Amino acid sequence: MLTDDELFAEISKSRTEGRDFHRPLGELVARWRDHSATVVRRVQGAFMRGSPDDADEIFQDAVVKFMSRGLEQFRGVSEQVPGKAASPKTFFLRIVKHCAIDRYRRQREDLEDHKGYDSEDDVSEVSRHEAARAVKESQAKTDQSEAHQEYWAAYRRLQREHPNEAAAWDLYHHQDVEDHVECARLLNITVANSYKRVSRAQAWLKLYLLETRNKEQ
Amino acid sequence: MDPISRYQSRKDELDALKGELENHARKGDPGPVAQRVLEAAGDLLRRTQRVPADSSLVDAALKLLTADGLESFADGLSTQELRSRLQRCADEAVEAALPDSDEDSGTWSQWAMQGLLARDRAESARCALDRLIRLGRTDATPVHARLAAALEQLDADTKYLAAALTALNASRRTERDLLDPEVRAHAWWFSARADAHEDGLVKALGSDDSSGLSGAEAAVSKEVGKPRKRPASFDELFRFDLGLATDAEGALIAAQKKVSPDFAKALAAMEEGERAILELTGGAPIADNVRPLRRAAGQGPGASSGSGQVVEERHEFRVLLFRRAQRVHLVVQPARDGALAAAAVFLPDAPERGRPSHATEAGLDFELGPEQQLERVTARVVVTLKGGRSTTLAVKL
Repeated sequence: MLTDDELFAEISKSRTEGRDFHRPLGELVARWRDHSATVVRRVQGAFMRGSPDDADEIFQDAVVKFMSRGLEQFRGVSEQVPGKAASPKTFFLRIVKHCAIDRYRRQREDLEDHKGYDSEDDVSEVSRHEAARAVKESQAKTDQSEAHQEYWAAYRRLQREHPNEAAAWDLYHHQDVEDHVECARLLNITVANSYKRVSRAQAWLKLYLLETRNKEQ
Repeated sequence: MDPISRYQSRKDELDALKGELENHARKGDPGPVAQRVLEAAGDLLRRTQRVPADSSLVDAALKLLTADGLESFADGLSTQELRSRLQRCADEAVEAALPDSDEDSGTWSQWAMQGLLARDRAESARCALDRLIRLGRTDATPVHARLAAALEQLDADTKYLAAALTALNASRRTERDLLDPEVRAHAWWFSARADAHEDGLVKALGSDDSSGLSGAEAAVSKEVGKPRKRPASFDELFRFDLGLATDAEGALIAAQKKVSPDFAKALAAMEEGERAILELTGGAPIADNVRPLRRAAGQGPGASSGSGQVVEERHEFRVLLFRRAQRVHLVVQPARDGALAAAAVFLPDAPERGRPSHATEAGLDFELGPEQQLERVTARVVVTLKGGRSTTLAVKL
């Protein structure tokens, strides 16, 4: 039987040559399933969340991530930070670990996202007038959601085109570090620089939104 | 050179080009000469009041252009390049209005104006072709039609940039006022939102206080100012764990850890998961290499080394950006002997595949590709120092 490293080398070779590699990859990750469950349990213990049933789904998520990006990423990490990727198995288990963390973080954030909304059970029978108002409110919520998405699209563009300004704005505005001294310390820049980067970020975000709205019109 | 002298000198330039064309002095591709003649002639045709020129000189020079020259000029024209230039110009205008230091403002303005002048020269070429058609040269008609259609599309796509260009209004007004009144409105790159009351728009957009804004600008200001949260993403946390986080990503994680007990718990779970992995694989604990290094100097158009621009400077190394023969290079240069162990550069189209490099006297040279394809792209530079410590930087190309 091939070792993990030999099987992984064969998968990489097949991939480079454009041959199907899904079967050997399936065989390889199956060997790591038990260890994957152990990692998930340890994350659950530290996070104080989750159930034993989650392990299978997390494993599947990790396999998908490993296949879609992980193989390339593993090579990249091996070249960039020798020793950090260690072995394909270690790298895969790290993906498992992050899939588990992501799952439990998301569960928490989903709950928080819905805090502001009323449950449907709370809504009593409504009059025509109230129904009209509800339709109006629903439209307002849709508009709000569109504006919300428009903002995040603009922010992603800022991250691509002006990463330094995006980082300063992220700290200042999204992470509540509304203090330029602290922003500057975290980013290793001067306080004056922090002011300028946040200003430019605001200007660009607003210009992007103007551009989007202008194109829609 | 001040703008009016620049346009005055177009007469001498056109006269010299006319002489060259009459004597068949220039061999090879006739396209570049045709371009210079069209641009110089058009510059004068659109500024007859402020820069009067002998129309017979303009007409005579235009008539000397051959059909081959016009064709070659049209083939070499790239409105895509002009589009990128205009977009970069809007970015530079914002830098000019909100510079890192006051002395940078003038440099940014000058660079940005170069972009607007490039758009204006294309308009001059279109105008000169129009003149040539009126002089009876029917072979100029298809070239003119192609150029006019491409420029019309370009204007429709880029006119919104006028809001950012307000930061250059003083120079734009000077250029606008040199144009003949009947062509000013069409030259939106100089005339749209160029009145004095618009001068402070970019600064106002860059401020938390939107009381001075109205209409669409006030609406987007309100939207941007709304409180919002952004949790660290899967990828950011994963890169942090692998020691590949940029300074900014490291800062984001530190900030969230400080304010969110839930996020601190996620980080604790990450460490616990790592302990489990080490136990299962028998691996030795790995040195913490995620701590960002201190930055010694920031970015700025003034900072340069040779013909390269210093985009990052640290105690142990610096990163220089070069544009040579329309290709972009990043050079990672050790600041002291033996400080640098390795470096790699990655582009977004192949985020896990390092770009090829070779050692030069200046440092490790990464050839990233044609300048045109790398407009507004951010490269990820990973530098590993002796001792295994590594740091990752985002560099806008």
